[in-house]
Amino acid sequence: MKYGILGILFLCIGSCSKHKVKALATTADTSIRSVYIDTAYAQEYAVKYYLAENQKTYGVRDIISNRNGNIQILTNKGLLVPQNGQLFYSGTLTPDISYSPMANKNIKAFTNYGDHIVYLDDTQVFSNAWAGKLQIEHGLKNPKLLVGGKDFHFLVYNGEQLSYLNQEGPLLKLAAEKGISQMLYQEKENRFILVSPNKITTFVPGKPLKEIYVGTGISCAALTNEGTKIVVGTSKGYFYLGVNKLIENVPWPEITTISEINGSLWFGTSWGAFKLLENGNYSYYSGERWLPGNNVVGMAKGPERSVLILTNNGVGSIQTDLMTLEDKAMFYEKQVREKNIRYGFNCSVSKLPHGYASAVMKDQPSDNLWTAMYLVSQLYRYKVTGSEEAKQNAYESFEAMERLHHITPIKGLFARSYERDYIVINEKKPGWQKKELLSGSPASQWLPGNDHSNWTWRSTVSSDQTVGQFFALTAILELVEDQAWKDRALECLDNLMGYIIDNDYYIIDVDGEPTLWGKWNPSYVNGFPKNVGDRRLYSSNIIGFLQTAYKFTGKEKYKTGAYQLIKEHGYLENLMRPISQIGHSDDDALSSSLSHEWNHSDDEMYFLAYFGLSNYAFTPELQEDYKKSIRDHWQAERPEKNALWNFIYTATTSSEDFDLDNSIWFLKNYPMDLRNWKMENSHRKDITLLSNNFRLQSTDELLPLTETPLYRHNGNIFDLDRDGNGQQLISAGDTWLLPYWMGRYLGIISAPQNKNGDLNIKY
Amino acid sequence: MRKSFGNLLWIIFLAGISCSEAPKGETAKISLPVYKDVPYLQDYSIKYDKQKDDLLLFEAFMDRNKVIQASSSDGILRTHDGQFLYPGTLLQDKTYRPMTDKNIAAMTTYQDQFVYLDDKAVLSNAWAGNLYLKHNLPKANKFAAGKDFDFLISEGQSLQYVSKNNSGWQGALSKDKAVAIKFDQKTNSFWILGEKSVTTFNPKDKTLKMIHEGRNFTSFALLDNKLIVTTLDGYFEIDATSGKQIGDKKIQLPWTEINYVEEIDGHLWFGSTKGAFMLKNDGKFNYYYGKRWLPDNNVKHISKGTDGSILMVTDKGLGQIVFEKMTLFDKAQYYEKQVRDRHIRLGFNATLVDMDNGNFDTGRLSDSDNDGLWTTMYLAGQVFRYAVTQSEEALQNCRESMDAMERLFSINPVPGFPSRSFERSGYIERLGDPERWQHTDDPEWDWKSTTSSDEAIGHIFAYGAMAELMDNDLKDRAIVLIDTLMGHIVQNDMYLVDFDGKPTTWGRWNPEYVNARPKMVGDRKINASNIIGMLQTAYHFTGKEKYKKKAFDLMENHGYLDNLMWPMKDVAMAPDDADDWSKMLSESWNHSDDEMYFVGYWGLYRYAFNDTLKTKFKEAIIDHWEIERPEKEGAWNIMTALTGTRDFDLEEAAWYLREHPMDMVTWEVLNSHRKDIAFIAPNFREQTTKEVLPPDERRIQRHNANMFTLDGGRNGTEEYSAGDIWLLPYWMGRYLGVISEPMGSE
Repeated sequence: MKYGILGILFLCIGSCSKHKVKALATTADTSIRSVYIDTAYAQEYAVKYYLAENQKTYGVRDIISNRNGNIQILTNKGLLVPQNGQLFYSGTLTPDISYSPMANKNIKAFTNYGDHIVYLDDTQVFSNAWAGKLQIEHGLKNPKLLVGGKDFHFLVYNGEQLSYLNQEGPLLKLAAEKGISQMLYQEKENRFILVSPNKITTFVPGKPLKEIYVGTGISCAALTNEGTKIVVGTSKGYFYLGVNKLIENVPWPEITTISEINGSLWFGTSWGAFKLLENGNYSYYSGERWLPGNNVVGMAKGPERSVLILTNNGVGSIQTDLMTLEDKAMFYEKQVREKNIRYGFNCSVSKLPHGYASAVMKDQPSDNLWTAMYLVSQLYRYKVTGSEEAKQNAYESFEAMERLHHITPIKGLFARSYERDYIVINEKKPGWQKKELLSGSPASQWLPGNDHSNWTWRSTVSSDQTVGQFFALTAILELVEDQAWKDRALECLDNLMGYIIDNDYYIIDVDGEPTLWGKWNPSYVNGFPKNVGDRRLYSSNIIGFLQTAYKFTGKEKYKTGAYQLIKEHGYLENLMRPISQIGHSDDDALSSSLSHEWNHSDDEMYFLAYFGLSNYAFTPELQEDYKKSIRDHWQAERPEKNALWNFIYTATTSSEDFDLDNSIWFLKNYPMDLRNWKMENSHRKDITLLSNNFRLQSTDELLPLTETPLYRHNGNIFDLDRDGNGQQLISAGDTWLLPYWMGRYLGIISAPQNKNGDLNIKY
Repeated sequence: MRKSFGNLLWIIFLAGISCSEAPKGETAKISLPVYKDVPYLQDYSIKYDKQKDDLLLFEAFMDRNKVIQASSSDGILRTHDGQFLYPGTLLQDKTYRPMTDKNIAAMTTYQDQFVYLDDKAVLSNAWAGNLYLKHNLPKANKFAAGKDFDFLISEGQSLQYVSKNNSGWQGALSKDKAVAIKFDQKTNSFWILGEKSVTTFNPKDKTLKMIHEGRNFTSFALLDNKLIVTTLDGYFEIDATSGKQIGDKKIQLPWTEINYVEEIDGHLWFGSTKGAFMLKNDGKFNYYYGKRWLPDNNVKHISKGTDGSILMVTDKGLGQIVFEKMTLFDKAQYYEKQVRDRHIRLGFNATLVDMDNGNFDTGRLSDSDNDGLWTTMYLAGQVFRYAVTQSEEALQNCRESMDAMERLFSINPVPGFPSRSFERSGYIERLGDPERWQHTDDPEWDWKSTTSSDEAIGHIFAYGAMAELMDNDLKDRAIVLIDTLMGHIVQNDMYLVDFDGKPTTWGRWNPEYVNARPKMVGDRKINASNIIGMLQTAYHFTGKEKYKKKAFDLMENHGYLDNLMWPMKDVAMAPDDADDWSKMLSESWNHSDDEMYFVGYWGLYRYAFNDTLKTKFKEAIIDHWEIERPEKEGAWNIMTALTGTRDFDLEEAAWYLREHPMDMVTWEVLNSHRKDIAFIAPNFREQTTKEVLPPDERRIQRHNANMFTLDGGRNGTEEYSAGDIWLLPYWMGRYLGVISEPMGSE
């Protein structure tokens, strides 16, 4: 798995200044970074089938499938089957009318026997398999439960009596206690397991019933370990019969059903379902990312590696496709183009008020940033694969970002966003800064476009927008061959840096005032106490910007400016300040409001700007300092397992140890379904909550992203709970495609190794 | 597959396989040609229905992001959901908020991006929204994109040219209204089709020039240096330079009432009031008619999708013809799933019926008169599949169908007599032929009597294959059933004798019945051919002399060898002096007999008593095949290969398998109105046209039907099983080694 890689550690080698080439060559010579070999892995996603409102009153009871791929749901009003259904287009449930004679049967229970479905009705045990030959009069009134034994023997229970049948009819009838809720057959012992709320009894044909366990709150049981062990579910956890030690530290202990499916134990609960993993952890499936409802009623093995989970609101079919990371990338690539492209911008959040087809895209406060991240992902993709489509995607995003410059009336001032025919024009009212600060959303001043009068653009551009512009424009200058395109990028870059430096390190808005966040002037930056993050962040960012501008324009004013900030205003000291010293300050109102907790959006600004900081350092000495600063920051981020931070870290420091495994874990676990379903975890009994802390890290270990609220790179990855309704779709363009293609470009993720993935997903 | 899309070649290895590689039991010394199963382009359709009856659909396009949009009287629509066999819908596109307030009159694509025309401007959301060219034609409804962000717009007579980089122009057609505008990349000029004229506009010197006059034009396309102009009665070609019509108007088309024409990758695609069609390089047409392909047959617009699919706008919705690379093996995998998922009734291979407009979830599994035959054909296919792949799933499928077959025998009180079918009791009045159903001893079950000879031959075929190719309990179970059925027939003097003690109508192989038919009546030949094959099979696997003795008695003393060797070309109507029954039987060619012959050839040829007979049987089989050749029947061609002949029209068999539609729903299909096919005079074989149409242009049908039937279907109320129709010939081809395993499958 260890491959030596040469020469692709940095965005740039050939055009670096002389002493840096040496430094980089040294780095490259010694670097032996791990490479993830991209073979197919099991990627899960859910296809849901919702019960109609009237069907919810039917009382759903059980679910089953057979070797033909037929799925049936038992309700108190007959059998239902799933209809249609894809990942983004949920299916429905509809009455099963395939066998007409079934319509008149009052099905009380069904069971899987030999991968076929066997039914229990008022008088018979029967099936449509085996040419319909299986048909046994069971002789019990009001039958309730059915299970198959050896050689087409069956056991039926009616609340009072058991009837043991062979194909001819009842062999034995015997009285049994009331309240048996489930019956299992243990082939190895040739015995039946009868589960009651307060005990577990066995029945061996010909022998009397035998109690083997007495307890309380027993809800269900299942066979495991190739039928040798019995696992028992209760309202407070589960235990293995014989060991009898209650396991309570599970995602949710009120267990309603257990099933061993494809070699794993699956537990259904009153709050989602979970799967026991080989390492003893649990995968937790709750919320509509996975299930139509959280109250699990039944589970069954489904067709083609799927697991069927029946809930109060319908069926969640947990599908497993074998795919490579590149397959996953292609799924997201297509989705981004279809759902998240607005005038070439990467629309980070699209709304889905009427289902998946009807995505509505609005302007986003940070169109610059999200678009830059997507744009760079496509340039990496182009460099790695030669894909003309990727190049075109990047070019279209560039056109959108370039127009942000041309739509304003001032050279060097770029817009946050723009929209066609948008007539709302708000003034910046007095006190707008305070409002923007408190609300976290920019003051919306919309102004007529400089290029088309029926367009409006959004002012009050910020420092994170500037980070986005620099990130995208630098990547174009580094990675694109087309000189005309590069010239246009350089013009944008020079204009915007020039505008900042000519205005004394402020972005001056159309009203002649600095924007709220476009401030890198020492009087603002050094106005913060030393432990306030903004002082460190702004210093780090502006030095990176100036170095980048100098590198590509060669204009001395940028270099001079940078050295002035470093030498006269302590910006090097600011950016080198250990992350451990960053914390809260009450020195002034602004500092206080900016430092009440760790700012994850700042992390994003830091990392995206590290390319300009480290790679274009004026001297090797400065570069060493920068690397130290980056390493210090990265160390603090490691628990977050963010692939993007890890990859930028190794790209800008050439560090060999950059948590590749965690990064791949991040990429694999990132959900296929990027809709904002409500996700909850803080109720879980299998996690340890940390006490309140500055970084808002909720648990010691990060939960898999399959289980947590949707994460974007400016959010807190340790968030456990979030509301949602599935009516928003976030873009994978910035969240996933950027780290993935960066990994490919850096050579730390290999090209897909086998094309034999088994993809069922429709996209 | 209907293509001229990729440049794939259908490679047949005439060198073939050597006999050492031939399957078990194949002792022929010659090598057979092999179809190399490389990926080809399989087409199928995804339909999107409009949601309001009064909504008018205009045009549809796909952009480089693979988004599909359609213009309509309600503005821009986009597709919602939609999979093969599960239609999606068309919903209003709300993606861009400002777009919903615009009066979009037309749309097109330029550089694979959507461009719109509203009452004020030409605009787009691509190129960062930069494209916004104002115009002065508030009722503009037609436009086309030029070379460099320039557009020609019309609102009938008036025209306007707008450009991002040039000065504009305004003008008008002298006395005509524009029907369509297209841009000619070669000459950098626009073409304007009027209702009765063709005019060109040169954007460089801003001049209009009319080059042709006529009438009733509906649409046009550019192809090479020609203009293709359509009318409601065919189309014609105009030389783009001279403006002169080239040759005659073209009316030998699938349908002449043409709404729209489009040039796609060098091919002309036509939308007519009766479906769409594409002109192939060989001058023939691929025809897309009916709900197999389109929500409605009135096709008003066609465009090429950026994913290679073709979008067709009809009155009721959008049809997207998708071309997917697959091998025959891939196709088999789809069909295998189709059969298990929707066509297994009590182990029988059944039809899904009573569906509402192709919706599977509204369907019911139907009993059939021939549950025995359709199931044995599926069963034999699974036996071949197991022999080739050792698939456990195939083996289990065999077991389950065998369960059903065995129960056909055990459920009725007559020893050795196979029922036609069985069903849970209480439904006789709702089953096929209620008068043929009988109660069993078990009050829960009924069985169907009157079993026929086609059931019998199906049973013996599948059991023969199973007895030969299975190496497990199924081998013995197959031999037991062969002996049971043939024992019954021999014991009952070569009749199938029903529960009432009387022979069934068709279960008659006794000479007094068979030889009562005049020699030219097909039944005399088919019954002789079948029973000899059945007796040979019974003798081969049981070794019981009675079967051999009976066969030779029939051949030597009753002329059955002559009967079965009777030339196919001499099979004809009974003469006027013949008995009524013979006349009734021979009114026309019986395609169900073809099916009985061919499934019977397995036992006739393979288990021939001696080489002399085998040579004769081969002669009879090839004589039969020769007369079937025009049908290009995949199953018959492949079954002919079992004689070891090198000539069995392998290419046509592969064509049949490739061209068979993925969609097995009984949609209505019409071809008799077509003007592009050569009809022939009514004849005994009921061959309607000189050349057979591809399976995906015909109704869905089984192997017992006439491949030359032009019209038919059941309005989407049924889905047929691929088990007998497609999987049997495919897996038999694999077993015989004339179809290779998949190569280069994706």
